[in-house]
Parts: sequence; C-alpha cells; structure tokens
Amino acid sequence: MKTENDAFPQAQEIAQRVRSGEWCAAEVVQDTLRHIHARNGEINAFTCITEARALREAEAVDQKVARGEDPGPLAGVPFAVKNLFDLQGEITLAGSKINQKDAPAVADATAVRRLTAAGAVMVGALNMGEYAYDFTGENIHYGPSRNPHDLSRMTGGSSGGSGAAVAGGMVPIALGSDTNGSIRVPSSLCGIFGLKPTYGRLPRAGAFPFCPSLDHVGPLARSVADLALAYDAMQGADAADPVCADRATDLVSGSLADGVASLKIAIAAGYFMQQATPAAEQALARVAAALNVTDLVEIPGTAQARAAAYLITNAESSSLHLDRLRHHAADYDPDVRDRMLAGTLLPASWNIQAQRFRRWYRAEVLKVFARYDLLLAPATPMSAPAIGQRYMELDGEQMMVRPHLGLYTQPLSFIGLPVVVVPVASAGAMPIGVQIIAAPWQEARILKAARELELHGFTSPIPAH
Amino acid sequence: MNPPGIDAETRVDTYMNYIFDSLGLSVREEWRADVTHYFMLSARMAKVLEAYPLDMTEDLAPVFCP
Repeated sequence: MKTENDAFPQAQEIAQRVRSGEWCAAEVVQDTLRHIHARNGEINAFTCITEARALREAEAVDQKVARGEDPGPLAGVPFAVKNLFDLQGEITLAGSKINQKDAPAVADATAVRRLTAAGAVMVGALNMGEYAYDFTGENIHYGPSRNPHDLSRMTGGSSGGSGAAVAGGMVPIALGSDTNGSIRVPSSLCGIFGLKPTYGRLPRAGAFPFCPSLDHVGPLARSVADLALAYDAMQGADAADPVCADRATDLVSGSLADGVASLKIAIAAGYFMQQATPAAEQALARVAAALNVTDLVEIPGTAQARAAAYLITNAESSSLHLDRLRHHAADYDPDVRDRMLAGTLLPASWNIQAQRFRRWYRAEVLKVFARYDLLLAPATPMSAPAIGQRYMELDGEQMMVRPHLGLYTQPLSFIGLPVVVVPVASAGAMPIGVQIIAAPWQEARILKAARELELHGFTSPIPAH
Repeated sequence: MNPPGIDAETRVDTYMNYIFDSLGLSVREEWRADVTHYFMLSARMAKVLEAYPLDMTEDLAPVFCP
C-alpha cells in the first residue's frame, strides 16, 4: 500500500484506512513483508520475520472490521521489535549466540501483547547489539544493521535494527529498549523519532534485561503521531514488572496539536555543549531557533552523572551475566565480554557512590525543572560513524565509539527522565537528532514539542535507494 | 604496602587473578589486554565521580523499605 505521494504509509494512516474498511490489513501486511524481504539483505534489520503470525493477525483484524467490531487504534499497523522482546514461540536472542540454545518464549512480552491487542500486527524481530551493551548497532554474530541513509554507516545501537527498519520504511513502528541511550542513539543516527519514556512508565516484562535499574522500553517511528499511538497503547501498570508504575494512563495522542506556547524551554548548556561536532551544534541551534529558545541552563554534576551511569551499568550487567560468563565467555562478542569481565572487577564502593550520586543528581535536575518545562540537548555528538570505526575524535580527544557515542543520552536515562529524539536532516549530510527532555511523567510535553517541530519541517523522510 | 619493583600493571593483573579465581571465571590470556583497558576506563569514570564529593552525612543511598 502506498500513499498518493508514493511514500510508505505511516501507522496513523494505515490504522485509519483499515478501520474504515478502505484498506485490508492482510494486504498492508503482505506489502510490508514484500518490502522487508526486498530490503533486508542490504539493511540487515531483521533477524526473524514472523510471516505466518503476521498474516494470521492481519486476517483477524480484517475479520473484526467485517463484523463491525472495533479493531483497535493500531488496526493493521505492522510493527517489529528488538530481538530482546519475548515473542511466543520464538527464541529471545537478545543479539547473542549464547541464547540460541534457549527454549522459545512461552508468551509475548507485555509491550508486544498490548500493541497486538490494539490491532497492530507483529512482523518480526530486529537485530541489536549483543545483550544491549552497545551504542553502534554492530553485532559480530548477525552482522551490523546498516543505516538506510548510507549503508556503509552505523545505525547506532543497541536498538540498531529498530532504527534501520523504521528509517528504511520497512515498518512504521518498532520497539527498542534504552538503558543508556539505546533508543535515542539509533533514532539520532537514522534520522527518526524515538521515545524513551519515564523509567517505570512502560512495562518491561518479557524483555531480556541488561541493567534492570536503568532499563526502559519505548517506540521508534517516522512521525510523532505514530510514536504517540504506540506509546498510548503500551501504557498501564503491569504486575509482572515490579518497576512499572501503578499510575493512571496519560494518553497523549489527542493533545499533540496543543503547541508549546505555554511551556518554558531552555537549552542544556555546560556538559551538553562540550564535545559536540559542528553537525550536532547546528542541529541543536536549528531546533532552538524553531522553538524560539534562547535561555541556557547548566545542570551541575552531569559529567559525574554520566560516569555514575557507566559504573552502575558495568557492575549491574556483569552481575546479571556472571553465570553466562563462567560457562560461555568464549561465545560472547569480544567487546561485550571484555567489558562485562571488567565489570566483575569493580569495587563495591564505586557502585555505591554511583547510586548515592544518582539521588543527588535527580534532586539537582528537579530544581531545573522547577524553572523550565523542557530542556534541549544534542542526542549524539556526531552523525553516524562508518561501520567498523573504533575511534572518534571529539574536542581533539580520541575516544572509543562503542562506549562513548551515548555520552549525551547516558546522564538523562540515569535518572529516568522522559526524552524524545527529533530528527534533523540537512541536504547532502547524514541526519542527526536532538533530545527534548522533561521532568518525570511529562511525556505529553515532550511529544507536543516534537509535534511542533515536525510542523516546522523536522521530519523523517525515507532515503531514496 | 606493595613490595618494591611491582608496577601498576602487575598489580592490576594480580587483582584480576584474585577476583576471577574467586568468581570462578576463566579468562584467556588474549582477552586480558582489553579487559584491563575497560577496567581502566571504569577507574577513570570512578575518578570523575569522586571529583564531586558528596556530603557523607547526607543519606543518599538507596533505602530498603520493608
């Protein structure tokens, strides 16, 4: 199914046309599957295509429409998930070779189940950095996911397949996870919208953990309306995830057009303005100009927050993987294994100090949000590096790409703030994203600002190929 | 006190041996350089963190609530 301008349709349009009976969900899904088969060889976004399931679910949506029943707000919308989400009957790889020996999942992850209940159609599982310990989108076992804007470049990670599948028009919505930036980095490098909600807002049950005190799940999409549709469908308490908040849902799809005139917005200065390449600086300046933002505000201790997030991640993930490291160390991606082995060496005092700093930093950030509703910051210091690139130079300093590409995302997920990434495209250049950040539970505000920017031309066109 | 003549690299290597042995981890020789590199990166992060001293009387640690 193509729209009048031959663009691949977005979720909102698919759902509207399927719900009205104008389009048939089965045909939408067959088109989607054809496109995935045609493009996945070069993009390497999918590790599993759930074709039979997709056709069965699409048929069920069409039957509901035929019977006059409500097929759900995402009726017939194809979606795919990072392969750390449980899909009933499939092995949850989490980007690893080790998990290939696991039994298939007996049930879908809660987030998958909620999207399916809303009428969305699961079409497959997506490539990712092994066990989510990654900002590049590279994977030694399954090959790198490739950036649809330039196949020689990284997608970013660890939700690399999610970024590639959405940016390449293979699916309008994908799910990813974000511990330190794994939704936001691929959204930035692939030029799409990505939402990391407040820690505890969306259920993580059935998602393979990486660092449970920092893990989030969220959607990636090519429009703010699609992001909001998916986000709304996944909200709600979940007893299966002890972190998932017992809060009333706060649906945002109906208020996206409210604008941001009443919101006080500032640019995050200091740490967030250091180490940025000109591409990141210009993207931030364009977003700030579009929103008429000139105030600068510095959050104290952000370099320490990033360091603390790094240490907690290192300690917690290596603890989670200790038994696998004992028995399967040689089967890991060496970059992941060596970081996790290093994590086993961390003195407890480093981790405890990092946790103490977390509470201090949260209090400092909340003081800033008493003065401002939203903050703007770059999402990544640079646009997509070349696949295989090990080092990057920022402010004259050589640093490794894999641990450092998320240096602007890491301090924010550290205290669970909601963040949306907005794509900034420039002719002849790779896209790059800007983060819009709010106080906890204020997803509606960041999505309104993202919608305002979308109306100003900050969109996510599918690259020609 | 460390015995004279033992450099930092040797001390890290000795520390790694003790920890890996006690955790039951078997680490190949060819992995050690990168493990050491990543450990030193964590050590640098810990230094960054410690550069911002918190008031030790302040109760900032996560609290267990029964």
